[in-house]
Amino acid sequence: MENRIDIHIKGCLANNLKSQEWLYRYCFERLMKVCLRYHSNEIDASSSFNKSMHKVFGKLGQYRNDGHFLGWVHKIIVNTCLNELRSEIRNSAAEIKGVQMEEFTVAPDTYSNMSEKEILLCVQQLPSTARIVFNLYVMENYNHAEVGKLLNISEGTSKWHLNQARALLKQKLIQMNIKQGYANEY
Amino acid sequence: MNTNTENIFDDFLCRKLNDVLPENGLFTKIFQDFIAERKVKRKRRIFFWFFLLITILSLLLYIFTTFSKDVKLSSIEVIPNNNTSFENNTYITNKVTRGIKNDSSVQVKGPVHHLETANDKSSILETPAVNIDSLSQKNDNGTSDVKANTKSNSSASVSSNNMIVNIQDGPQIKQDSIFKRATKPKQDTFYIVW
Repeated sequence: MENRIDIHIKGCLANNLKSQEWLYRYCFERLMKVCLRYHSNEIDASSSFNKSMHKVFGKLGQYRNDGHFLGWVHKIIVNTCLNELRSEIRNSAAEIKGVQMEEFTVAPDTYSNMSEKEILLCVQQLPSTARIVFNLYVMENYNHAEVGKLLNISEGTSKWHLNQARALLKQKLIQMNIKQGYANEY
Repeated sequence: MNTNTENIFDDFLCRKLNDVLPENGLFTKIFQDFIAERKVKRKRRIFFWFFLLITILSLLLYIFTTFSKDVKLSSIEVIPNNNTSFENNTYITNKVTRGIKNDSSVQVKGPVHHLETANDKSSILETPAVNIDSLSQKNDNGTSDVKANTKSNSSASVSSNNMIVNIQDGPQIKQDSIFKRATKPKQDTFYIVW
């Protein structure tokens, strides 16, 4: 597969449209989900993905085969999403002054039967900063210090947003589970 | 215990979110957008380089036209060295820094008088003044009104409206070479012969 990617990278550098389409599809199938979970809707996610792909195609000459190609593209996508959402992070800085989120536990049986799309929908409905912190901490395996540095917020604020994200997700999953229960009954 | 539950919850979400597949119809739509944007960007890039090229060319043209303006000579002053004795039939060559018309050939009509001063810093003033119009004229029959036979160790200067042109010694030049040099654009040297 890597060999095939290299062939299509060379094709893209030679302005071959078929290679461009192949590479775009390859990245789309594997990395579009990253944009979808960072943004609250499909339109913004598509726009962000396209911007990322413009960067990828523009800097394809700089790519060296020293790592996995998808890892390189993934990093570009995450950076593009963060750049686009940075203004939303600043605007939602006042969120932390709100009510302290209650921590509660939910049994795994409650959410185990949820589909991927339902969970994605729940993530997309989170407040922007909580959604970004959740993505960076849970999905990208950053620690709070790194998240705080990336988003220009304190470590404590990052923790608060993560707790908020978890609590809201649990609430939403319970609500969805209840709705599904009602739907199954009738 | 609480942390363990959170970890299970996080792992579950992570696994589920990694399995998300985008809708099939979405690819066609956003790929078309991507291609369209790419074309627009390419056009913009071409326009940018074209604009840059035009700007540079126009700048060069401006610089070229500004620094290559024609200079009209208003008078010629010849200042000889101390050891110079001007006589009739003396060659005086000059060097013009720049700005002389392409087809300039100097014709001095009438005699040139040598005026000597007490401190031996003599100067030659043309009497009558050099016909400025004639500076750009070519002699039809290929000969000049200025005639000379011998060399001179002298220097002269040509003053114009906005510049002074130094006239210095030089080798003896045949009369025909005046016109040969005059045909070259921006030729820096021309010769006064009398």
